[in-house]
Amino acid sequence: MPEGLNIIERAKLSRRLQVNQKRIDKLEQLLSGQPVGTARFQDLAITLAKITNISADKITTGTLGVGEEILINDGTNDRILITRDDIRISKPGIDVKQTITETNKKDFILLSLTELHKLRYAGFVTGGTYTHNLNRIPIFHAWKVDSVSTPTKFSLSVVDPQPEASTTQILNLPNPAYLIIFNEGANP
Amino acid sequence: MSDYGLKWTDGTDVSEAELKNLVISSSHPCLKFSDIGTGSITYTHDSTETDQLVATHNLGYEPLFRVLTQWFDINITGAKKETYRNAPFTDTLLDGAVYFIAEPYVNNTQLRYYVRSFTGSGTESITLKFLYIIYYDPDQDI
Repeated sequence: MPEGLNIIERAKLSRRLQVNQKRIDKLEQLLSGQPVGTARFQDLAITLAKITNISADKITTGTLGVGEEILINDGTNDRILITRDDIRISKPGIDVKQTITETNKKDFILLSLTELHKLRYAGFVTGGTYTHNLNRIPIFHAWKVDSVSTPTKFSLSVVDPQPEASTTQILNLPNPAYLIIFNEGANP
Repeated sequence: MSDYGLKWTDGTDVSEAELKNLVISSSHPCLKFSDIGTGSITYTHDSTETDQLVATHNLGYEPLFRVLTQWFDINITGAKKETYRNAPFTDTLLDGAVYFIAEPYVNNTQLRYYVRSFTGSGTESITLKFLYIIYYDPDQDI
């Protein structure tokens, strides 16, 4: 202790030194990787964070990487599940994480390689033929139209030749036609 | 949380997107497959009717469906073609006479295929391949 201090001043200085030492100990713990109690930061930049559990009102990011899944709850049920395989949405009252069966799959919207049509082509076609090269017979719809620029009438033909699908083309289309082809189909 | 769901736009800002800009919105039901498959139907040109089970769906209502059937172009080549047309359809002879009618249909448990043939080219047995797709009805199931 510096000489010249009275006993009260010495006691104050001693307490201050003790408080400062605790702060130094806490900082050393933080720097050495030991858990630190509750801390508040006004603005914190972290190069690499490894967080076990996070609670946030809002997260803004350029890229959000998720290892397993994202689960959204509507307040009662888990309703939206995003995994590495698909995006699954359940109807109200249905737990989205339950096993999907032939019986209950009607209760879900699945964004995956199955369940929903993927549009291969939709548009006007002239010349009577469209090449799709899907190597399967695709589901398709074709209408006869009266114009490709200002159509006023779409109709289905009941007389030959009718539109037909091969594994590579849609043939016998009305000229002009409006054609929709889906990726889904089969090789009977 | 009252405003929950999933919206996916075609590039439009999701906060400004109208329904036409949405690739998918969980507020609107999608047309989902119940079943997709293939089969064949055999009939004879002897003025008989063939009514064949294609698939059992057990949905409890008559669902939307589509069947593409191999077309037998007897008018031109007399050989089966590897092209498929949407059924139902009526095949006619060169003189306009009806040759056969292909008419798939559904009830509340099954997809079936009905073919009615008419005389005109002997009693040859014909097998036509087809593919089918059955959809869930959003109004019934969602």
